[in-house]
Amino acid sequence: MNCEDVQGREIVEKYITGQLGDADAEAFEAHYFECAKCFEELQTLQALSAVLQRRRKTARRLPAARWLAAAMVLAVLGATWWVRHSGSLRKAERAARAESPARGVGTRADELALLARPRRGWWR
Amino acid sequence: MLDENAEQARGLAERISSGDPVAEAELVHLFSQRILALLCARTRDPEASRDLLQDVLIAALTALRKGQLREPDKLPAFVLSIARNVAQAYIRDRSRESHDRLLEEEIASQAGPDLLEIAERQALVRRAIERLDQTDREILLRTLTEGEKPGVIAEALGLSPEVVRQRKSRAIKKVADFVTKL
Repeated sequence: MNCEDVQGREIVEKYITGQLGDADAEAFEAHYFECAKCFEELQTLQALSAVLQRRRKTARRLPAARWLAAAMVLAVLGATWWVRHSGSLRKAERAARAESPARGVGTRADELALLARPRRGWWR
Repeated sequence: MLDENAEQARGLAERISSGDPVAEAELVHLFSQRILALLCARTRDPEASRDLLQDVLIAALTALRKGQLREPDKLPAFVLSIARNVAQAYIRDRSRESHDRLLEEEIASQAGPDLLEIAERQALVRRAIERLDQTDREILLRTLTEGEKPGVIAEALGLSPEVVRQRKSRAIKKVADFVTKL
């Protein structure tokens, strides 16, 4: 293999994308090990491929990152709502307890009166 | 490179077999990037290739120290065959063997500047890509990362295969020119 073959048959591109047959790959390797020009081209295309692959990976990761961010915002909003809502529930409960002695039902005095009342069993 | 310097290759091999550490560093400098390019292309794993590079260099240096290269002027072919064998072994079985740590560290420190050069080249390529047209970028992306043929790309982008071929060649040339000029 010589430099003209490498240029004419897009050998470098096929080599880095794994589209070169074994015999051609070996011939190209033997060539670029001794040819500075073709090795330079190989290095540039490999760098190009690496950079493009990284860009593609980042682009693919972006939508997932957006979904994750949206889920986190929802979780924070949900937690805030729950904290506020449960606080108001507790307040309402406390207010209800505070009001109950006025109605005279369910107070501690009522409970004691019930306990002090003589019991009548079936044997009496 | 070594085509014109068969004598240099012979001298290098002989100096390594006689235990010259400077010659070993020269060999590492001369072949590291070529070996790495081969390993990346064959294994498609740049991370593993960096480790495998050490294996190739260790194997080559160990063999040269023992004088196992019968024809010293065939040093590039010798290193190349070791690189291929290491890549094949990795592809066949991804489990790794332990090696001489001391020699590994020694070679890792010698191979450092080459990796730096690769990083610099990638930074230049990144800048060159930014200067390309969006369609050209898409064509390069599909060609070099997906291995798509011009016909397939043409269909996806609503262009003719010939236009895709031309734009691809021009884009690669632009990137290569940008990298070599800077």
